[in-house]
Amino acid sequence: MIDTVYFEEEVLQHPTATRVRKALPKANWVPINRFQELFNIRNQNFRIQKKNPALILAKKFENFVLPVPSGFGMNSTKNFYFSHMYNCLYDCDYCFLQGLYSSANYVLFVNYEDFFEHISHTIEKNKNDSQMFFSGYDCDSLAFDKISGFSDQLIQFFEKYQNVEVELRTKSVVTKSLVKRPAIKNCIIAFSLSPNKIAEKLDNKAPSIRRRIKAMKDLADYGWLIGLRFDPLIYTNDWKVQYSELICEIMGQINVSSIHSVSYGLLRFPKKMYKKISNLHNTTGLFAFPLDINNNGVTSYGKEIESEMYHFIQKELQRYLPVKKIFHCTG
Amino acid sequence: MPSEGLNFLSKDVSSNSCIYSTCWVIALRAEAAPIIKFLKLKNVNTQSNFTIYANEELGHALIISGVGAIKSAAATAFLKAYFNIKNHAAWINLGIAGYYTEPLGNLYQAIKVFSPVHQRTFFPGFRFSKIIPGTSLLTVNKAETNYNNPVLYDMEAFGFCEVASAFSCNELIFVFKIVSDTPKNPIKKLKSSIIEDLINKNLRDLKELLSEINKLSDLEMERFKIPDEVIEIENSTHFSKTNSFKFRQLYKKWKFANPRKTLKDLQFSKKKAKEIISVLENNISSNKKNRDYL
Ligand code: SF4
Repeated sequence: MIDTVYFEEEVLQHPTATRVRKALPKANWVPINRFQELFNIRNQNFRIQKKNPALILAKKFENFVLPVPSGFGMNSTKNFYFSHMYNCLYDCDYCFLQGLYSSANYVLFVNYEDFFEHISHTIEKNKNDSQMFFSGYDCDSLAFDKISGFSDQLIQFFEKYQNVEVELRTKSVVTKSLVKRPAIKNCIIAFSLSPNKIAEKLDNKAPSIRRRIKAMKDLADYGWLIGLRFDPLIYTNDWKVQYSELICEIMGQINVSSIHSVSYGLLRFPKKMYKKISNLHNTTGLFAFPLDINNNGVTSYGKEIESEMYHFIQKELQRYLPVKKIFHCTG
Repeated sequence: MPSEGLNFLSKDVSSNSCIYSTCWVIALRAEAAPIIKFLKLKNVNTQSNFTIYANEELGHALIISGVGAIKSAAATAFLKAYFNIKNHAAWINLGIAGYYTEPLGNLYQAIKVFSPVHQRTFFPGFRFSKIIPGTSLLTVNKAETNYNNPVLYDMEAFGFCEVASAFSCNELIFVFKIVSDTPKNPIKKLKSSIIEDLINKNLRDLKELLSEINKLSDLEMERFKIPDEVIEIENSTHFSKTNSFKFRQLYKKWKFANPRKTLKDLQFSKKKAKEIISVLENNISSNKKNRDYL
């Protein structure tokens, strides 16, 4: 449980802050000026902080909506993402947030209304294109929902824009707020998945794969569209058997018509980020693989293995799904 | 071996790490006395104006800084330099402080340290909220008598944080304060015996805190630790900075793949940095597809 909430004094009266106060009645509330004074301090230790992260309540002023990195989107011509939160309750060994931020504290931007306003403007500006919005780029979209209440408001907002898609990406099984309301067809609940053996080793603090599949099934039964995200694909000696079994298990439980899309991407880090993350995990097998660095400065398994994994996963997925639902993510 | 009752602080110190992993910076002798006694610290002859106590077995060193942020900063820097303290060490500033409310004698962790003079803030330390409460602290230039804000008042923590945070990661910098004066019991000349009493009454919590701090600094030590066989090779072979970094990274991967082997098993012929790196690279790559990386 979160023991300390640092809050920008300006946001204390905001309804989101009130909600958080109710959700965390025992926390110690400490005023700050701006979240950066705490979040960006030098010489922080991400791994130690991750043992007991604090929550920082802040107001966001700019960059509410951003275009996704190339290779990240799916069918839509215009793809955007937004981050109402930085950092995550879970602690996956491969998580790029460890390389992106030096702090493991959670930052929650309370002014959801400003996000929605900027999303509306973006939708309006691009009304002649197909558009998709991604939530959960810098956090898990649902894991913090009991405290933040974000997804509920987000879905209410997107209900008004039926021709625009929104994806909530998650490993969480906190689906209560979704099942107690009618599903909307333009919202995709996308689950990040790895074979059980890999998830048990690397997806620290996240719900087991069995629970994630159960949550997906429940949501699909309630009419929600599901996304399957195999990203990053992790290499180990018996990866083929592991991924093939996982895909088979999911397809045995979720009806193809409930699946909006499947995407997969190989393990990849910008060089600098890789250096930072691998230094944080001295003994993890994940970083024991002799990764390659390509001309663009991206660290990955290298062409040979990538090609093998790409072809295998693509073929496995095509056994169950039409090609048009399968996407290779490189962003 | 550490004395009985202090075993919880014992460390497995490898040959290439500094023996001191916990450093105390304390303003007054009366504040330090209970800690010196509890940790069985011995006076170290520094031939300087600073008084230092240490216990090599337990890895604790303590410096008496004198009152004020500048003195605290200077003492922190002196202790670091004197023992060449490594960056996995934990730094602790312990002392008495004013507080806006009763009761006297409570121990707090200062999780926000602000200097009105410098208009800057530190957020030191991994928070131990399960053991003691956390609160904000103002470092002031002279003893506070108004207690206008809901915070602790001291005269050292800011100076301590400013310097210590350059030595170790922020999560290993700790400020612990015991309430010695409040609006109902304003500051007066506190007798040494009363100050010692305030510290002594909190030794049980301090002991618990030390045990947790020990675990954290162990984690850091583990992360920075360079295996003896790596040091041995680097000492007997010329490595540029870049090659040394590369060698250490490759070593980790090689060790994962060959947990039972030692570098000696590789039998380098020329003992040149490039050769060593290339042997490791080939060894790691040769069987890379067949390994279990989980
Ligand atoms: S669930 Fe996603 S955001 Fe959270 S730790 Fe894992 S990889 Fe990172």
